Amino acid sequence: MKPPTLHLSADDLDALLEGITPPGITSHLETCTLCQRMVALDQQLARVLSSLPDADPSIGFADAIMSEVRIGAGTVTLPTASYSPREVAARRRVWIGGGLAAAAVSGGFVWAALNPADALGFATPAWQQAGQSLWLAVQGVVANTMEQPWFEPVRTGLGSPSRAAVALLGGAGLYALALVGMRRLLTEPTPHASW
Amino acid sequence: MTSSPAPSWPDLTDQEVVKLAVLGREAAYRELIRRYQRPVFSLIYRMVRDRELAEDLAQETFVKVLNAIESYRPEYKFSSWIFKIANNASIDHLRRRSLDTLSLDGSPHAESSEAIEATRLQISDSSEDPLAEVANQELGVLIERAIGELRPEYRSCILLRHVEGRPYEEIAEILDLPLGTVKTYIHRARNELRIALASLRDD
Repeated sequence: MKPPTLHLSADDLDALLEGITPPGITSHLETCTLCQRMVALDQQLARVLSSLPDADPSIGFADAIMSEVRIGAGTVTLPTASYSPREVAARRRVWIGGGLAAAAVSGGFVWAALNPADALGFATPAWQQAGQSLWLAVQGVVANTMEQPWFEPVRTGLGSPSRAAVALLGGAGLYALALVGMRRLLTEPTPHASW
Repeated sequence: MTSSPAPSWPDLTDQEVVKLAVLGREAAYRELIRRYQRPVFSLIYRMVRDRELAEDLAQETFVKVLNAIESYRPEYKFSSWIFKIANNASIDHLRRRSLDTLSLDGSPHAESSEAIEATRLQISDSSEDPLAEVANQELGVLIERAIGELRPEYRSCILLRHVEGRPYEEIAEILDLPLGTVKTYIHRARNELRIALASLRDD
């Protein structure tokens, strides 16, 4: 039940426009003149908007279009304006970002080619540091895994090659299923993907 | 081009008409124009507030859609596709020209009073009662003017929802916006229009 002091929300007003009375608003509406006025204005507004007449284009509109249409053109190129302004801006950002990143990487390579001694002096310790960190991380993960209570039973369970193969195949199957599921989730609700 | 009998166009769905257009039936192209010329032209006209420009943009919309008809995917509504392209054309134009707050009283390019009158938004009403017709026209003019003062994004949303009667989900699809954003835009637009309407009722 809506407290008497709480006015109707935008969703309540929406529902009323659709002819649905949300639960708990009747008693509030009976007493609140402000909300009554809002509802009345909304209903009048919706009525006026839905009765606004369509405008007609001039005579010859269809002929003018048909003169530019290639009937059964066969090869179709996607119209650029089918991308929304938001999509165009996003694409532009990706291109600019990608361009800057490519320029930075290329610049690095050029500098390294021109200054091989400096590049090696800079890169070798960094490479060694990265390798060492990676090795430590792998060791940590392995040690952690071996300390888990489930590790020993799993290890003995997968002791024979046939069991290991079955587990591997099962895991691969699950992974493939998950992959297909994710692809469907990501692609299906996106309409106009090819527009 | 083809010897097959003429189909009964009104009985066909948009998807069926598109299939015939893809097969090269000129009449199918004309049927799609006939079905959508008024709503598409009206939407663009209400967005850009200039009859001549609206005709150009509507024409451009149809040419793009019909020349790319083979890329239409029947699992989606044809109306969503054509409204999306029409809306993008309008918004692109408004952004380029900053015409988003023009009045409805005539084209900004009109140079004489006759030209202003000729380009004024024409609103007609088929009401039987002449008094009601006048009242509705006045209200309609006021609302049209208030719509013209909305932000272009709000304008698209309110026109598609309440003038074209499209569901929220389709509007989100057309405008390429999240559903929640569409609802927010419509609520805000309705709020601004409500204020305009209240001021008329108070006068």
